[in-house]
Amino acid sequence: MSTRGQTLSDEELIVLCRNNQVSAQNELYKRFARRVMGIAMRYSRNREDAQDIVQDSFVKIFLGLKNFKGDGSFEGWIKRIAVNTAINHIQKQMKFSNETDIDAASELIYDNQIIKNISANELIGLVQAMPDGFRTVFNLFVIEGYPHQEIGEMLGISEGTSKSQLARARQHLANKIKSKKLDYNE
Amino acid sequence: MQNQFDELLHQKLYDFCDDPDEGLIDKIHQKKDRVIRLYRLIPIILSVVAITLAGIWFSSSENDRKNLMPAFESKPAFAPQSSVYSAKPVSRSGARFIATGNAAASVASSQAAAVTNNNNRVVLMEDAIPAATQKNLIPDRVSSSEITGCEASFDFYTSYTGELFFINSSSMNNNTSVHWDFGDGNGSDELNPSHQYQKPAGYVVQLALYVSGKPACNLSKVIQYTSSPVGTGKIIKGTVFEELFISKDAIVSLYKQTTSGDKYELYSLHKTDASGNYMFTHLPDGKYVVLAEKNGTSRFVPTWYGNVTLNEDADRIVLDDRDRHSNRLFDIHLQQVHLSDPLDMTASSTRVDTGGAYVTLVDRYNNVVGTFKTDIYGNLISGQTEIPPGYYKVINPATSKESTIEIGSGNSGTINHYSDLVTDKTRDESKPLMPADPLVIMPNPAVSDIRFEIKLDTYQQVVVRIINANGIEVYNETTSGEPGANKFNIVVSSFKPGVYYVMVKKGQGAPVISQLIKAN
Repeated sequence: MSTRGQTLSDEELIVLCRNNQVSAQNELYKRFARRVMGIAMRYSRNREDAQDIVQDSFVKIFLGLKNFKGDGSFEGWIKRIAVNTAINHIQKQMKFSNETDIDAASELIYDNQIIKNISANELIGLVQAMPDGFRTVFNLFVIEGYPHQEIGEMLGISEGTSKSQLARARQHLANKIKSKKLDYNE
Repeated sequence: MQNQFDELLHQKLYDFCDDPDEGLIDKIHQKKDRVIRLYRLIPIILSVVAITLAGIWFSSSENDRKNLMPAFESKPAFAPQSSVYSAKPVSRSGARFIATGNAAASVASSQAAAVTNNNNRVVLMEDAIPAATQKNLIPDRVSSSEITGCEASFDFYTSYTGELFFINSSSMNNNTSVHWDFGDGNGSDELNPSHQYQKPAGYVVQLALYVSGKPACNLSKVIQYTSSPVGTGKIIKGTVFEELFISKDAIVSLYKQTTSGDKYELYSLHKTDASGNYMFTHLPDGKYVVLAEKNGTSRFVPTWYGNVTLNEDADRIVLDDRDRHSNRLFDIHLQQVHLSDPLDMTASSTRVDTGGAYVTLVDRYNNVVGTFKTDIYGNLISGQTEIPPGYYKVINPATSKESTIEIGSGNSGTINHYSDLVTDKTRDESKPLMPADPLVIMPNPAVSDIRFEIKLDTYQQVVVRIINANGIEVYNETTSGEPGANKFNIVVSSFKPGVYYVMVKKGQGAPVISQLIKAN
């Protein structure tokens, strides 16, 4: 249809998608689906839940495009929507214990090399196996880089709870990684 | 220790990607469409809730009203106001807002447990919703239809002067009349009115259709009129970057002339940042055209554009409003009339400076939409062409001149009429392009009548037509002219004040056109 040989820029796509143009939305999906799925996988228990998150994220993206102001990067905007959608999905099931002992953190023992050798897919499996609360706080703090105060506000928990969840999440993950190492050695 | 642990995991997981299952996109579209449909129902649902509350309010006794009072207080949006609820009972016929069908009614009943209307035809009255709330509730397009098949529809677009042109695309017949409310206290009964807003603000524009004088259906749209539709532009080409400063939230398209020089191609399309800047990096030398559309809310689209030549000699080009006018090669104003009122295309002309040139209309991706040939005087004489609404460029390959035009939407995206025309801004005014013998209208501006003379060499038919600024013909006269001067006197006292175009066509010749200002 177009006589131009170039591919559309994200900005051009945005303009087209705003008019609910399905072909443009499909192209946008093609560009970002893998990324959004990656985020969704980190936050969910399994692949099925992750796909639900991807589905809802893109519905929000398509409907919310007119609100995208172009202030920040488009990818950043999409990621934010994906993370928020993921949180909405798990928030209902999530339970946080109010323990605030963070001593566990000081005893964190892990093997640098093992983490380097472990594949991202294996690591995702370990992350998914974590309890919902651990996993969410871990993702928000370690991967997304939100401060505890903000995480607390997002999840409706106290800053202290966020910290303790993170400490226990680290411990949990370190232990799992350690047992991976044992698996390898066997 | 922790930091290193986090860092390692961050590296591993931050860029983690995975393919979703095939077919997920279809589910996304399905869900999106469901949401859109639901979204369209929301105003109706809210209306039903409001009317139900109003109905309870009326049907209940004085005591009950007191009991209901706290509920209203907790929802100030629906707080009863005497002016609001003073009017009519729930099932009044002839009411404006109406919801029909089981779907709307059942959704409504789940929202408001107190719905007792067994009839699945829930009639609402417009007065039930406080006026201010009503406006807030209308998201964008709300069309409520009382008469089956009546659906109001309109679109609007702007000229670069900031004037808004409204295009009525509702299905109409002889019994249908329209009323426009521009939301700023002004209104119009014209089919396709134009309006200039004075103050930057959000306006709710309503198009109401009346069948045989009775309210039939209406449509409201929120229009965000932003201040300073045109920004001041500045393109600076340095060794590192070129910066274009336009306006916040503007869509900026940069067209670059191709190496063959015969057309412009879209080079980049971007959005300005929050402070209204967009930086084009490393632009190659060449000739560019910049088009900026301000539609941050995708509702109001002032246009800013200018020509830029970037080369080694000119490393700093500043575009401002003055340049915007002087640099532009020509303006083309394409206007549209309602489908039921097609005009004779051959009678209108668009002036291009070269006789016999082909003028190409291309869309923003350089797809050719139509090619028109100019006549010996350089007038563009065009046939009816189906063109979807949007932004287009008109290119005259003979001169490489190009201009951007904006085409609004209509019933089927058909352009029926080119009314005014090209003003060649770069042309030497001392060399007229049009045949000598211009049409001189006296007086101009006119109040009651106008006079002009048409000189003929032979007996010829003379067609005089007057077109208003919306492209609608308001006067048409065909007479037999005699050799010599033929005097015309036309009463224009009934015309609304504004700009008109008087077109005079002698025999089979090209029309001569003059602008007429009708004063009060």
